[in-house]
Amino acid sequence: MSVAILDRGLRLRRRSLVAWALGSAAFTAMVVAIFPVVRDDPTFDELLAEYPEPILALIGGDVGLTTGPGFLSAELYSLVLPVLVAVIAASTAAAVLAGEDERGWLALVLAGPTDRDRLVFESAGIVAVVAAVPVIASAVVVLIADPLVDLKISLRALSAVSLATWVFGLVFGAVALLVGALVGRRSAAFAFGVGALLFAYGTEIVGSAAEWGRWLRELSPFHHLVGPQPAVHGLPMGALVVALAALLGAVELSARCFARRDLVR
Amino acid sequence: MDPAFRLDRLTKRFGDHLAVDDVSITVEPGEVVGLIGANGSGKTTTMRLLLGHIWPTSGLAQIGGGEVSESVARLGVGFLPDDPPLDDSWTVRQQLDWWERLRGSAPRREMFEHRLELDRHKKIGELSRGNRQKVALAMALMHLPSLIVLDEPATGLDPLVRRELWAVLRGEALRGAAVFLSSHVLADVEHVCDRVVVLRDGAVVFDGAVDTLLAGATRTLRAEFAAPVDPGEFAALPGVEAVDWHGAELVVTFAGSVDPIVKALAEHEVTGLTATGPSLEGSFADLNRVPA
Repeated sequence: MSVAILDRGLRLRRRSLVAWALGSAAFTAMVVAIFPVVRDDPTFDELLAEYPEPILALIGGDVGLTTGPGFLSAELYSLVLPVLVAVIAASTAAAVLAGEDERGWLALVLAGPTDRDRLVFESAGIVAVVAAVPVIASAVVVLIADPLVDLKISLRALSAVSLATWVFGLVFGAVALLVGALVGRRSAAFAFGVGALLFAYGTEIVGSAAEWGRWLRELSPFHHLVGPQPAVHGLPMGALVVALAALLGAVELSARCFARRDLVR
Repeated sequence: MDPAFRLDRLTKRFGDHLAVDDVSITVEPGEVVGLIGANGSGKTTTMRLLLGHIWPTSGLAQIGGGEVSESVARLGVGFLPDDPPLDDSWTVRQQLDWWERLRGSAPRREMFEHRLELDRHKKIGELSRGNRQKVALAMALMHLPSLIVLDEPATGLDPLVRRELWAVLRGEALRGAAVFLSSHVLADVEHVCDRVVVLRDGAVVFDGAVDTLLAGATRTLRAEFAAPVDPGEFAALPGVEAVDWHGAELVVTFAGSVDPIVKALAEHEVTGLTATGPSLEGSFADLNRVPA
């Protein structure tokens, strides 16, 4: 089976993929470079012990900073990388369907025998691959740095946190893809994707800090995929299965919405 | 044999706006049909309905006997959009390679690369508008389509390339492909099409041979005289719609036979005479003057 649309989407993004990979790798390298300083200074953990528990959980410091997995969880996988992956996924998802609709490319392709379903599925594939690039680049740097700075993170733990980060980012890509399939406007698709990310972060903050807002955390992918600290505690399997099922459902729903929508150009 | 395509009582509304109103058009293999109309008359919407880009409020669009919503029905379609959205960072060769891969085959690719003189190594983003149009034309034709749909295909093309385009399309029609094109350059439509469909306010106001449309068109005759004449003498003649007197020149606009005017002219000393034949431009203007 030809995957020409997926292939084109990745080839056209070759330069930005290299840029995202190098950027993520460079940031990860900077983060792991300071680990020996933190590891050898117990005052970091003593300092963290004085933080209220909700705040600790929010910054990922509740597992300690002086172990490699704990340090990576707090400094890399609790906020910066998940947010970066989510923004890249939302931006790509908005571009592959709504963006291509706005520039008239979908009209050119769909005048031929290409199925609308196929277009949506391969577009989702582009998002999945693009979102994986910064995650893999960071993981490769961690693997290379492990023996150098003694991170002591297992391949299993690194795979778990990488997978959770990737799936977390895809959730927001799925929101942007669905909105793009519905309305065909790139700016609206991206705004909804990033808006969902902000909502997720907001509900996590409120839910972790205020008793009355505890239930809100249940709505947040931060709480289910990032909060459990997969680098330390392993994969949150239940949340992962639910998230993957939701992603597949969102792609299928996008295909159904797109099938009956008029192209915008 | 199924028609190349059939639009059956198609209607498309955008909210309160009626963009296409009960349009029925059938085009047979080998026909070259032009779709003309003023801006906002529904040309583009009709083409988009035909290609399955938008869905009708009511009515049916079929290509080769299959519903346009079924992708297999669009297998034999070649489409040249207005201002083709090509991938600027690719070379012409990469663009055509990819298109061939998407379509599955392109048996006439080399022929069109050669005939349209495409520079395979040049980046799409560096091409002139005309050369981009030629690349998009090759994409529309290289898989041997049975229905070719072109939206303003001559835009940005120089006269030589435009002549080549018309020759290519006539050739496609000769091998049995149906060609359906819209153009605001009515002289082009007149030159290449066998049949013309005129849209006005979303509805078909004329569908027939170009010659039939031209037969009912107004024509103009300009005559210069050695001495002044009475314009009223010509205004009263049968078929005359307007008479203007500019200095020593009389301009008569008429439909039907020119004979009464020629006989009236013979009564005077004529020093110059010019006749303008019927044009699609004139016919189109006539159709748009008639109250709906």
